[in-house]
Amino acid sequence: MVIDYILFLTIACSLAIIANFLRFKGRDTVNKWVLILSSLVFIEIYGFLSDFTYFSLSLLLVISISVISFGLIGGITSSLLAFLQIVVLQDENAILIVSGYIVFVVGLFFATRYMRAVTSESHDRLSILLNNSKQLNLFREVSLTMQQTLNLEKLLQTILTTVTAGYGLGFNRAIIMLTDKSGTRLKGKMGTGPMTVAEGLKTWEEISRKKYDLNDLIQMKGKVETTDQKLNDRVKTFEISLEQESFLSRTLESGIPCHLDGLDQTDEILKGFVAEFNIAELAVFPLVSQGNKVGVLLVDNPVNKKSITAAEIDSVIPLANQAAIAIYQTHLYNQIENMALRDGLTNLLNQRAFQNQLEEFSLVGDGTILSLIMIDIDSFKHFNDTNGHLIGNQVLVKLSEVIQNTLADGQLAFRFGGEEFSVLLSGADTKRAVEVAESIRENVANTSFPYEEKQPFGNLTISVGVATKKVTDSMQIQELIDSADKALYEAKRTGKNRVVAGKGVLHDE
Amino acid sequence: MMSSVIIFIGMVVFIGILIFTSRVFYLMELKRFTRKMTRQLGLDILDLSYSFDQMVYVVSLPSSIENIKNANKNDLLIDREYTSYFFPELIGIKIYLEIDHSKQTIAYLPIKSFRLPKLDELLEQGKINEADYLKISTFKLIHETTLNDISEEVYKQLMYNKNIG
Repeated sequence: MVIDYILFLTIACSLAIIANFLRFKGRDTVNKWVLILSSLVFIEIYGFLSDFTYFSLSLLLVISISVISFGLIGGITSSLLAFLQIVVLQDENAILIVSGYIVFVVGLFFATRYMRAVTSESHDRLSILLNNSKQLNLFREVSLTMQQTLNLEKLLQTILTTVTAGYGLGFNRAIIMLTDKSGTRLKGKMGTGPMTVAEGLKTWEEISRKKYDLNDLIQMKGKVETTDQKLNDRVKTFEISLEQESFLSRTLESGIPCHLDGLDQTDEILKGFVAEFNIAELAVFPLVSQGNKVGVLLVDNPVNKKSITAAEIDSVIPLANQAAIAIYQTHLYNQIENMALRDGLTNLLNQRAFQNQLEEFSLVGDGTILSLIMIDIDSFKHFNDTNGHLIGNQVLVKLSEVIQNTLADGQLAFRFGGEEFSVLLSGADTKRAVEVAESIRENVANTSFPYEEKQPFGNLTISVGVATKKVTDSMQIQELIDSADKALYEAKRTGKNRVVAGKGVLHDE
Repeated sequence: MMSSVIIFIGMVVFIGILIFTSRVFYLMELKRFTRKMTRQLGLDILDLSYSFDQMVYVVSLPSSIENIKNANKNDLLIDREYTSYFFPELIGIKIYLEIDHSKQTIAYLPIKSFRLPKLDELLEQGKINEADYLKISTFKLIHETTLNDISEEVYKQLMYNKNIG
């Protein structure tokens, strides 16, 4: 008898281990069938060893596992099979037993269903918690980064990185288009993401290999050559009129995100986007701050081709709203800065910008050669007295245009005050500065100004003073200005309409 | 003839072993499958790069909570979470602090969010399917080296700017 017990328990252990060893090798259905069959074998062996005593009771094991594996249908099927076996064994209570099985199956089915619902609810809660925690962490991190910059480029990089990074919202690609000053056109400003799947996977491999986090990615943008360049080259060519009916104008007008998972053949602008960026599905978010239409944010998943869900769209909305506010504030800041640093009449940089620029040079203090050109209109008081200040202002505007058009990139023109102008040339020695000054003087002399024939020499001319210095501190800056001033005075004194370069220590150091 | 007690004990043993060894055999199968697949695909499981980007911190960092600020690396523990006892599948890993028998969950990494670039590439090329992906990424996630790296990363995050919190 003891040997039978030991044999029975050994079989129980062995069968359970063999079943577990085998069942994970196949798919889910195989797993379930192995579990049911192993329990059936166990019960049959038990029946054989026990001469089928309590056999109908032991069949509950198979029925239970069938319910757990295949639900109500599994339970009822196994109950009916169990009934057949009981009939074969000639149990006179077969009908009663199978009724008991059915009640057991229904009870167990509802119990397991309840347990699964509880577990599923718990998983859903976990999922919601994780999603919310991630968003909260993300917004905390991003809002801090947004607050720290008023530079539009940096701000757009932050927004795009947040939308596309795995640490962020995890879209494969994002594009920002901003409205122009008139608010009637959208211009492509910046994009992040690949143009092809291969590019996307390469970037993804790089990010995960180097374990970059969100801040690393934001810092890297703009500094490191990335595959974004190809996307940006295309994005920047896009300019869309908002007066034409399109998915972009509708999104901005309604202020509601737009999810496009099919191509609207009637929307020519959308067709253009799809063709240019190989888009299969797209979500567009309006960037609106205090009723001002700032632009749009477009996102899609060209690499993993994941569908954009409603929950994902909801998760972008707060970021898009925050981004719109930040972009709008940056625009306002830039406008105010522009007003503070530019002359209202000529739109040239003003005296304050001139001082700031010189201060920057003195702070760097690396011995850069700096040339200063001082310009003064000859006999301008006479011009104003003769023609009036309104015409005088027209001359100042036109002269500013001549100066600006004469200069190359990086050469800065300022309205120094009244009819005085200045030009800063970084890295230019006296010879080069005199060449530039001479070009300005010649261009002014050759330009036709209103009522210039009433000037003492029959046309409007300028006198120009030039000075050059290696800048290492603020004292030398002052010397530079004084020297340019003296040269200008010398140009006036020696007959006007000429360029004079400063002498001595300030010349070609 | 056997007694009803022995029948009951036999059933309990059978079900008990099914339940309590299921995770062991599930993990064994993951290991076998991953080895077979990586051999076929010419990969080394240790070389598969991954990112911590989908790790979700359920505490605010930097934190003002004393236990978190003053945590030791040894206080950080990792739990694997599975779907069920009968049909176990990894849901994710939970990283928590255990100080004086009190547990404080710090972060969670769901397996569905644990993506590996190389596997994404193979999936895109059709060399593996989503089920293969899940098995390999699950094995990678519960690999001792990965768990150590995750523990290091979470500790680094806890200690980063801890004096600000």
